Amino acid sequence: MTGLDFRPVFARLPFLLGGVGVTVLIAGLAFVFGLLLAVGLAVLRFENQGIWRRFSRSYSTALTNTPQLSQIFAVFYCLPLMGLMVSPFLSVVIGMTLNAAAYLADILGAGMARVPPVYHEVALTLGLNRRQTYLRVILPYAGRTMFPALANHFQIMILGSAMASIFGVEDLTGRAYDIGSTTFRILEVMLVTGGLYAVLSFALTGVFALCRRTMERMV
Amino acid sequence: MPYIDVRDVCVRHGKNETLRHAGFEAERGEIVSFIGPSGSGKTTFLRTLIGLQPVWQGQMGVEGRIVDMAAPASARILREQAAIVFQQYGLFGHMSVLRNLTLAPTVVAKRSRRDAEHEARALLERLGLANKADMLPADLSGGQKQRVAIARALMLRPSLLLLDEPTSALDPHKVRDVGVLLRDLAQDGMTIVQVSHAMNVVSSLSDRIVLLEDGQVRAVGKGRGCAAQQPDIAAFMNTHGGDAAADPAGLRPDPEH
Amino acid sequence: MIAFSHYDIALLLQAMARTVELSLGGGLLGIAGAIILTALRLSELRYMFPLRMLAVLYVQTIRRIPFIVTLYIVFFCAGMMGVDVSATIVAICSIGLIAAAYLCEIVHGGVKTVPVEQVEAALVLNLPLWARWRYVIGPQAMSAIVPPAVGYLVLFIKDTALASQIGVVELSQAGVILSNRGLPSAQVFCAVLLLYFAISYPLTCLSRLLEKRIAVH
Repeated sequence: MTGLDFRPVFARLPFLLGGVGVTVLIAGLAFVFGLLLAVGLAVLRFENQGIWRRFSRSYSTALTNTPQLSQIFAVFYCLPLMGLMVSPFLSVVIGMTLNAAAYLADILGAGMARVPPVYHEVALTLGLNRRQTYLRVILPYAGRTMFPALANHFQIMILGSAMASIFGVEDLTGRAYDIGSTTFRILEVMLVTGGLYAVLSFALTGVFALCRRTMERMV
Repeated sequence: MPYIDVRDVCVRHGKNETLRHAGFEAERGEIVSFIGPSGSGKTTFLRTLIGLQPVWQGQMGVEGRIVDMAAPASARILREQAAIVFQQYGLFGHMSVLRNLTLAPTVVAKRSRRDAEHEARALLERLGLANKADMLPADLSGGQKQRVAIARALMLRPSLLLLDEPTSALDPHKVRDVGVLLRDLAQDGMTIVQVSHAMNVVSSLSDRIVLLEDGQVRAVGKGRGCAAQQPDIAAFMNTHGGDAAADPAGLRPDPEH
Repeated sequence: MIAFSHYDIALLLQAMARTVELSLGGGLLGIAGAIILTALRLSELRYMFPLRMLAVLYVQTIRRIPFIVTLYIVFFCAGMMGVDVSATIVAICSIGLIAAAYLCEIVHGGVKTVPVEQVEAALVLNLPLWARWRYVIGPQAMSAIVPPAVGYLVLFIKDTALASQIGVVELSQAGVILSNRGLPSAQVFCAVLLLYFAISYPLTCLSRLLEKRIAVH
């Protein structure tokens, strides 16, 4: 057994750290777009009794019971068949967005179910239309109760974005793999990378706690 | 020589001393009440007597046998002679009333299940719970739960029975029932120590009243019916007696908990 | 039109069995690890303090590292130390390491749901350690542990897809192999996703059922 040698890794630390930005970017984009889709899916669940409601539920069931990796593979291999040539980066973001929408819709749905029914009635009597009711009353109220679950899912997405490396995207894990294959110090670089993910995650936990406190103060 | 002789109990939380050289004596079959303002250390003192509260120093003599309460092995010895009824009862929620009673005798004392169940049923009958044996604790009223907890404690055949706020969660008319039960048990030779906020219960029931203040024993009153006449205790009970009168069952929650 | 030959179907089914093997093996290892970690975290003995802190640190940190990175670390660590084991074993060990941390949180949380008075009541009844767990803490904690634990294991079935990255031919890798052989990608990935769904969905339903049953209690 040869000893561990971290020097080649530390020499390339700036390159590796740049990957943190890509990781956050992928997770952030997929989270934002996923959330937009999820709002639509969640509203469908509450507003329509018929086929759209069933569609929304089936969507979540299907995508939460299959691996994100296979979903990204499906996007990666199938979009070109439809004549759409997209970069690996975009494939990953699209795949993760679709996956996130399923989980986030479940979180939003559960959060909206906890909004007291009287809020809908009050909004009606105040003369708000449906769009205003959701934007001004239901979502802000539900948002506060759902914040921990949403923050937790963002953390899961940061970890999940490491899958991007499999498609050749230069995120944190992708860059780590690059460094590993040029320096042959893959174990060392992966240990450092694991540490970076942990630091990133602890930092996010701190940021979310701060957000929550600010939100509570705004009430 | 007193039957029970507790001396010099000190409890520390960091630099704080929640009990300072506290002690009391009791004869066999006496009912002792700990009273005092909130935070005076009553419940802590009670918990030291059964090894739930680590102590810095202290000793307990039972019939001349001395237990060093600070020794790690003391908890087991203390629990062999004493039993406690918690304020919230601590009944095992997933077990029937009968199993709550027979668990320790069968598992710890290795008695046969049939023998333990026979005794448990007799005990439940005596406490008016004969038809509750197969129910779960959640299906019982507060007073019934408490009697089950007392029955479970009695199954251990303790010489010392401890009760934390036995009347605090009971309806006023149930308070009297508990008083009668405790006096019966004392008559049979069991020594009883209770922590209580209900001054009317304390003064009518106690053979001995220990007034704690700031972790120290401030005063001790002796004698059935006249323990409350000790001047310091009378003064405390007068200032808190208003409480007792307005809240005869001690229904108000104890801020210590 | 289905373009799969017998060989393709056999490959898919074999890969599916591998996925189940990874999930089961990793899950069992995780349960064992979680019990040890929880025991460390709950130990009150003073000289256990460093081990207790280590357990907390482990649980807190490993859940913040992507599975694939852990997988690489275990894989290359085994390689560097000259341990000659199959990629499947490496994957099962990695899954076990991570599952132990997640399940430890669930088990620890479940144990904490048992009311303090009951634990103290068991203590003053002089029940020995094993009896306190066997009769009082265990049965009551179980109801708070099992539903989320099943829910968590369902999540983990999907993460086993990443084992493909160290060369384990499991379900998602079988899809890539078939697709690269020139089979129609859409059909291949449909089949792969359906097979995952067939494993995962019944367990999801089970987890929901357990949750409901316990909510009724």
